[in-house]
Formats: sequence, C-alpha cells, structure tokens
Amino acid sequence: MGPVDRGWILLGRGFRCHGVPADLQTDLAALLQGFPAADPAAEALELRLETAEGPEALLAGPGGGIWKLRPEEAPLSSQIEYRLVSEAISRAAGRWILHAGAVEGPRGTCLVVGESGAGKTSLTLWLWSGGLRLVTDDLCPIGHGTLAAERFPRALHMDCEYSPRLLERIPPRPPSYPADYYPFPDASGGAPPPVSDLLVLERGPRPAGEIVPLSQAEAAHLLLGAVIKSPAFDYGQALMDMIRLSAQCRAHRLRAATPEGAGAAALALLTAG
Amino acid sequence: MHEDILDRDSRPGPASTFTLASGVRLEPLGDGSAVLYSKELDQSLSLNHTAALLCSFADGQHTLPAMLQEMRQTFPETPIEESDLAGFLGDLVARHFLQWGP
Repeated sequence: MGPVDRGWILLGRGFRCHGVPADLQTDLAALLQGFPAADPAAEALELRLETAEGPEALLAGPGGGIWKLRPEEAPLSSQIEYRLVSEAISRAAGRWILHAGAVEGPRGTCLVVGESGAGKTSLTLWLWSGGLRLVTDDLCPIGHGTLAAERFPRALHMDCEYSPRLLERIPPRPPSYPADYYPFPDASGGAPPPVSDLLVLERGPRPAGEIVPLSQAEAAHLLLGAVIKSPAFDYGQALMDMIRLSAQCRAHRLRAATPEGAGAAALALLTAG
Repeated sequence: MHEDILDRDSRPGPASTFTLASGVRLEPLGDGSAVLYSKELDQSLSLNHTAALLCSFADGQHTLPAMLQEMRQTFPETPIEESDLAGFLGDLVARHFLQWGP
C-alpha cells in the first residue's frame, strides 16, 4: 500500500487520493504528513488524478467536481494538497475555519488575523521561532460552541520574501522536502489551550510595532471577518460565537512597518508577566 | 431606492423616537461596546460605547432631547451635538438597523 492510498484525516473527515504517480506520491505524503492517517477500512472522500501528463491535469473530486491543474504554475503535489484542504474546509462540520495564524503563549492561544499580505505568516513564524508553540500558520479551526482552537498541521508554505532575521531563526528545510514548503513542527502535540489573545496585524508607518487595545465589538467583527464562509455558513451563529470568543480574549491592533518590529512587539505583549 | 432616499433625507423632529428595525438585535458587551445585528440583512455593526448607549435608547420612548440630555450626563467630557446624534441615527435608519417612531 502506497502512502497516498493510506489517506488522511483533515478537519475530522477522511480523504484519499488515487491515481497519483509514484514520483508525486512522496511529495504529497510529505506535505500532508502532519495530518493523522485515515483507517484504510474507513469511509473516506475520494479524489482521483485523471491525467498527470501534458500541460493540464484533471483532478476529480468528491461530488463530481473536476479541477484543472496546471503543472507549469506549481508542482502538482502542492495543487492536490491545496484542493484537499479546500475540500476539507468546505465540508468541515462543527468548526469555524478562521483565516488566522495561531501560537500558544503563556496565557493561552493567540490568534493572528489581518488582511491578505499584512504579514500574518511572518508574524506567526516569528512568534514560533521566539519559543511559542505553533498551532497554525494559516488556518485555525475553532469549535462551534466550544470555541476550542485546533492545531492545523498543514505544511508551512513559505514562498514569499521573508525577513533574513526571521529565516535565521527557523531551522533549515529538510533537503528532500518539496520546495517552498517546510514540515509542520511538532504536529503530534495535544490540543492548544483556550484562546486568550487576538492580534490584528496591519502595516504601519513606523518600524517599531505599535499596539492599541480593541473593543470587544471590534474584536468580534474582526474575528467574524476572518471566518471562511463555507456553503453552510450561518452568519448569526458565527457572530454569536465570535462575540463569545472576543469576550475571552485580550484584543489588540498591531501596526508595524517591519516584520521585526511586529514580532518584537507581539512577543513582548504575549510573554509579559 | 425611494425609501432609502426618504430615510436619508428625513430628519427627526424634537418629539421623534426610534426603535430597532424588525429582526435587529442589540448585543451589549462587557466593555461597554456593542454589536447591532440584523438577522434579515445578515449584517452587523460594531458600536463604541457612545454609539452603544445611544442604541440602547431604541425603545420608542426616548425623544432626541431626552437622549441628548442623558448622553451629556453620561459623557460630560465629550461634546455631543444634536445634529451629530440625529445624523448618526439617520444613517442607521438608512441602513435598516433602526426605524423612526415608536
């Protein structure tokens, strides 16, 4: 049985991908290695790579969807991984999926949200490299009603320009690992502690990070804005859960012109006695 | 569209009162801020403590002068003009979170 036939559990649901050539299987398995293996006998949602040659590959998903993958744009393994994660998000039950980074601080789990390009991944990795355990660099599941954060052990996608100081603090990528990715560290850890902090990251005019407290109403809305709206999204239920989540958080807006400034200010805030 | 224009242009008189629009809930929060949520629109607004207090008067009883008096007593350091207050309420009416009248 190949590693791909084994399947993975993402957001509580089993997935298997068939038809993947052997040379891609290793990379796909490496990208998904943080997720638990699915029981071979258990029911799972099936994806099938129909063609892997030529300028276009077809990936058939559960429910009849077919996606065109273009090998010249990105490695097929990363495109399949992206589709698997997207399918898992759209079918996630009992969880809100927030577009957020998260780390475990001394007080509890800290969520990092912000507009696309604000530097969420950089800040999250900075905090991780500063000694805080990583929960996710990108997508954070939060239980409906329970408001419990879940670790989301997706491979770290690091294809942007990052601060040399940040890269110095992160262990080098294993030589055999797919380019632009890094294995999720310590995926086997237990459940993260309750959410205690929210950082809303913005680009600021000054290098040093500036931190401003947010009201609970602002925090609730920013959390709501970070929730990925799946087909079954219930606005009212999400709002009420985000209001409750904001009540258990210290919420701050963090503005900085540099990743170093944002990282230093955030680390000081989260680790202050 | 016609109603929107009327709402935006209309200005309340001294005896005007207002209420939450149909399907709208005001969620007061622990720090004095609040969230206004419209189930019908699937939209919500975050309110600072001043706006939250103002919306708490959406009971069809408080007139504008009465609200203004209470606001000035609660926030003596903050200059509050009746025209600003009426403009804010008018905006919420235009966005279908509030409605004029009892």
